[in-house]
Amino acid sequence: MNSAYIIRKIFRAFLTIWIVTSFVFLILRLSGDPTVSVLGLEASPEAVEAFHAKWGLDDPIHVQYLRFFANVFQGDMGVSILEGRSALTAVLSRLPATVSLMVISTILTFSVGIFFGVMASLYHNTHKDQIIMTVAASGFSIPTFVLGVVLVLIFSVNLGWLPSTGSATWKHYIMPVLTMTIVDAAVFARFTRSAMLEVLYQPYMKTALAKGMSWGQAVRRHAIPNAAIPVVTIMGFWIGALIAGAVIAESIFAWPGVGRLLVYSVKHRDYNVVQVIVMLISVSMVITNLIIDIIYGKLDPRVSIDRGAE
Amino acid sequence: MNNDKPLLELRNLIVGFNGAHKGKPVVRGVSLEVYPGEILGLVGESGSGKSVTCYSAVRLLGERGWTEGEVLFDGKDTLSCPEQDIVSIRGSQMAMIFQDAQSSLNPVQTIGRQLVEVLMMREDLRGSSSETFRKEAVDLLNEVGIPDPERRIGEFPHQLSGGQNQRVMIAIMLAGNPRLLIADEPTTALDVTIQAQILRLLKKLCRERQMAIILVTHDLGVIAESCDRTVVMYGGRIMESGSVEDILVHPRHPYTFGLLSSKPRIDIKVEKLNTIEGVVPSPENLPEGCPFFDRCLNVTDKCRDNYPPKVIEGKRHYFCFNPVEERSV
Amino acid sequence: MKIESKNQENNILEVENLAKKFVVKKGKMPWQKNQYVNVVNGIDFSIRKGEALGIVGESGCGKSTTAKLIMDIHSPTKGSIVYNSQELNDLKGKEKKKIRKDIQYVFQDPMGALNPRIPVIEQIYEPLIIHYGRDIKNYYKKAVSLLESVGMKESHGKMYPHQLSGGQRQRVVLARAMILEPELLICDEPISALDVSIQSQVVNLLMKIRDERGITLLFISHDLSMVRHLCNRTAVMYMGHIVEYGDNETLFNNPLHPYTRSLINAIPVPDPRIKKDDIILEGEIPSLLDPPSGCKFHPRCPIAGPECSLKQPELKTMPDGRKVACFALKRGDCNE
Repeated sequence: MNSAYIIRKIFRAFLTIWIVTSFVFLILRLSGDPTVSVLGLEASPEAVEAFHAKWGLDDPIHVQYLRFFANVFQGDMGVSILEGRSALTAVLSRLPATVSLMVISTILTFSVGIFFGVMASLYHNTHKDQIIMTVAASGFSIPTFVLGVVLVLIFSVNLGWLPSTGSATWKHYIMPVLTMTIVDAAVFARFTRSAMLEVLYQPYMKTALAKGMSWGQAVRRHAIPNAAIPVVTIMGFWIGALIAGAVIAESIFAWPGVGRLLVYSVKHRDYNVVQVIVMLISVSMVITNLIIDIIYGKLDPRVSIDRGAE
Repeated sequence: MNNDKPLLELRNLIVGFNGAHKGKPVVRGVSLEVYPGEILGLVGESGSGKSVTCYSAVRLLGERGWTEGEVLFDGKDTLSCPEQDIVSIRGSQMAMIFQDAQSSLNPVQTIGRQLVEVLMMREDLRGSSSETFRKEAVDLLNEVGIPDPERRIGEFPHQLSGGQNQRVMIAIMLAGNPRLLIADEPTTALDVTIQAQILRLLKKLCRERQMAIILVTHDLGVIAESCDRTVVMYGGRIMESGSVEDILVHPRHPYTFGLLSSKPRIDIKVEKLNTIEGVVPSPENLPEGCPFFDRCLNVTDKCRDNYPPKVIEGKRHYFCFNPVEERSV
Repeated sequence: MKIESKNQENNILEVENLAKKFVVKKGKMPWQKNQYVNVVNGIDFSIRKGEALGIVGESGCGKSTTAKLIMDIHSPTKGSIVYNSQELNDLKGKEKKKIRKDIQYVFQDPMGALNPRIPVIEQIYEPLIIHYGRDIKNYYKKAVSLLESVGMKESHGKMYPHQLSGGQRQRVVLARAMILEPELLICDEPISALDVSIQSQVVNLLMKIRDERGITLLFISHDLSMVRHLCNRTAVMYMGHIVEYGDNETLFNNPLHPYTRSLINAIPVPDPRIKKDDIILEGEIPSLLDPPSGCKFHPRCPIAGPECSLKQPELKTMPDGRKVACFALKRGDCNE
C-alpha cells in the first residue's frame, strides 16, 4: 500500500458518506417533520412555532443543510428530538445489543454456509449434494421477515418454547439469530459450492494429485485457498444484507438495538438520530470493504491493491 | 536402454468417458512399454487418445471415465490397486507435467511452497529442517535451469514466463525422484526457442537420472529431436510403433506417411504439400475397423469393418492391411 | 490523396516507419505518468502485387499488432500505411469502406469469426449485402461456387458453424473473405488452431487462391516451416522490430541475423538423421515493459559487440537484396 492508494481510498470513503448523508437529509425533510410526534395533534399554533424555532425547522432547507454539515465537522451530531439527549449517545447505547447479534450471526452464517458449500462441492452430483442444495434453495427463497414471523408463530405462539421479544437471556437470541442466519447461510452455501466446483476442475488440482497428494490433501491445500477468493469478495456485498437483516430481525423481535431505533426514528422524523445511524452504517461499510480489499490482496497475489501507482 | 524389463507396460488399455457416449471408448486397446532411461514419444492429433492414455496410466482420469485392461508399473497393476497405493506411487514413482504450465501451478502459492510440499512427502527428508528443504528446492530449480533461484523461490506463477513455469513444473515433479515422467504436450504452448530449451532439459534429465519419459506431442519434429522410440496414435488406436528412425524415415503406416508429407520442413523446400483429405474422426464416431480408413490412400474393402492385425517387423510393428512400401520419405 | 510510389516495383502496400504503443498502466493520480509499451517500433516493409509475404516471430514480437494496424483495428501511433498509392490513415467514410472491401482478413479462431446462429452460406454472402444491397438469389449462387472452390459442398451451406469441423470453418471464413474479390488477404495465424493433417489442406487452398485469383497474401505466423513453404518473401520480427527481411530462398537457406539463425535452428525437423548444430538460444524474450537498450536482441545474442547495447541497428540492404538489422554483420561475423 502506498500513499496514493490510501488518499484515493479515503477520498472515496468521504464522498460515499457525504452522498448517503445528503440523500437521507433531503428525503427525511421532504417527507414530514417531527412536530406531531413530539407535541401531539392537539398542539397550539404557538407551541408549534416555538418548536420549529427551537430546532430551526423554519429555515430554508439549504440553510438547514449547511448548518447540519457545519455542526458535523465540529463533531456535533445534534440532539435527539424525541429523547432530548445527544443523538450519538442515544445510538451508542443501543450498539452493544446489535453488535452481539451481528457477531453471532456472522460466525454462524460463515461456518454453516461455507461448511455445507464445501461438502456439496466435494459430493458433486450425488444425493448429499442434492439434499444440501435443495435445503439451501428453500432457505434463500424465504424472505427474512416471513421467516421471522413464522418462527415466532411456531416457537413462541404454538409451542411456547422461546420468548418472542426482548434480549435478556440466551434464549432470546435464538430466533433473531436464526432469522438473520438462515437466508444468508443458504446464499453462502450455494456460492461456496460454485466457487469450489470452479476450482476443483482447475489443472493445478491435477498437479496436486500428480505430486502424490491424496484427494483430501489436495482439496485442503490447493482448492480451498483458491475458492476462498471469490467468497471473500462477496462478503463485501453481504455486509449490506447483514445490516438489513438486523433491522428486520430487531423490529420483529423488539430487540433493543440500533436497527429498531432506526425504524422508530425514521417513523417519527428524529432527524439527528437517523443521520447518526446512517453515518455509522456508511462508515462501517467503508471500513469492512477496506478490510476485505486487504484480505483479498493477501489471498490473491495476482491482485496488488496498489495497482496503477508504481 | 540395456534394461529389458519395462518400467511401465500398458496391456490392451481401453478407456471411455462417462456420460452420453459411455459405451464408446476413446482409447480402444492400446499396448505399449516404456523402459528406464528412454524417451518414448506418443504422437497423434486431437482426439487420437494420446493424452487420455497417459491420464489413465497415472489414474488421473478420476470419475470422469472408466478403464479396462492392465497398466503395470514395475509389475504392479495400477488400474486395480486400491486408491492409497496409487497415491503413494504418484509423485514418488511416476509424475506428470501438462501443456499449460501456468494454470497447472497454484496461482496463490509461491513456487517455493509448491516445491517444498513435494519434498516434505519424501521419506528420506522426513523431519529435516526448513533450511534443508529450502536448499533442496533451490537445487532443483537450479537443475531445471531457473536463473536466480534464490529469488524466484518466493515468487508466484504469474510473475514467471510460460517457459519458466514449465521448468518449475518439471522441478516440482522431480522433487519426488520419480522413475517415470509423463509430459503431456509440455512445449505446445511455448515459443520455438523456448521449446528447444525445454526439450534439451528433458533429454538431460532422462540421461542423468536414468528416468523414463513419455513425451506426448502432435509434432513429429519434436519426436525426431528428442525421442528414442515412438508410438503413432490415431482415433484411439496405435497405428504403428518402433524406433524414431524406423518410423520417421521409413514409415509403414499410410497415416504416418501422410502426416510426414503434409507438413512443410524448415530445412528443405517442398514444391507441393500432400494433404490427408477429410477430417479427424470424432471420438464417439469411431468405426469398427481401422479409424483411418476413410482418409487413407491405400484403403481396401476390408479396412472399414476389420481392424488390421499386428504386423511385427524386427523391433517395430504396425496395424495395417496395405502398408506403405519400404522407401524413404 | 495520391502518393507517388517510392520504387518501381509493383507494390500493393507500403508500410513506413509504422509504430504502435499501448498504454499498459494509466496513471491514476494527476501527477502519475501513463506507462507505455512499444509493441511495434518503427517498421518498414512492402507487399508486392500477387505475392505472399510472411511475417514471423515469437509471441510478443508485434506481428499480430502489425496486421491489426493494417486492418484498421488499431490506429498507428505514427507512420504511414500506403495502399495502392492511398494513405490509409487519411481515409474517411465512403472511401474507407471502399478500401476495406479490397482488404479482407482471416483470423486464427474461425469459431469466433462466425455467428453461431446463422447458417454459414448466409454468412458467406452477407458482406455483399453490406456493400451492394440486396440481391440474395445471385449472391447465393456466388456463395455456393465459392464454397465449392474452397473444397466444400453446397449442402454444407445450410449448416451452422458448430456442425462443421475446425478446418471446414476456416474454409468458410476464407470463402467469406473471398466473396468481395479482395486484392489483399491478411491471414493472422490462420492454421494455428488446426490439426496437423488439416493445416496442409488450408495452406494448399491459400496457395491456390493466390495463384489462380492473383490475390496478394500477408501471412502472419509463428510457424516458420509453413511460411517458408507458402510465402515468397518473409520479414522476421523481434520485440517490435524487423530484424531480417528478404526473399525466402536467400533468407531460409542462408539466414544472416543471429536471431533468424537461432529461430530456424530451434525448429524441430522430423528427420532423426539430421544432426543440427547444438546452438540453442539461451534466455527468454525480455519484457516489453522493460526492453533492453540498443538492439533488442543483444542480451541473448551470441555475437553481440559493444555497440549493440548502445544503438538500435537499422535495416541495411545486403548485396543479395535482403535487408538485415545487425551491427555484427559489418564486422563480418555472420557472413558465410
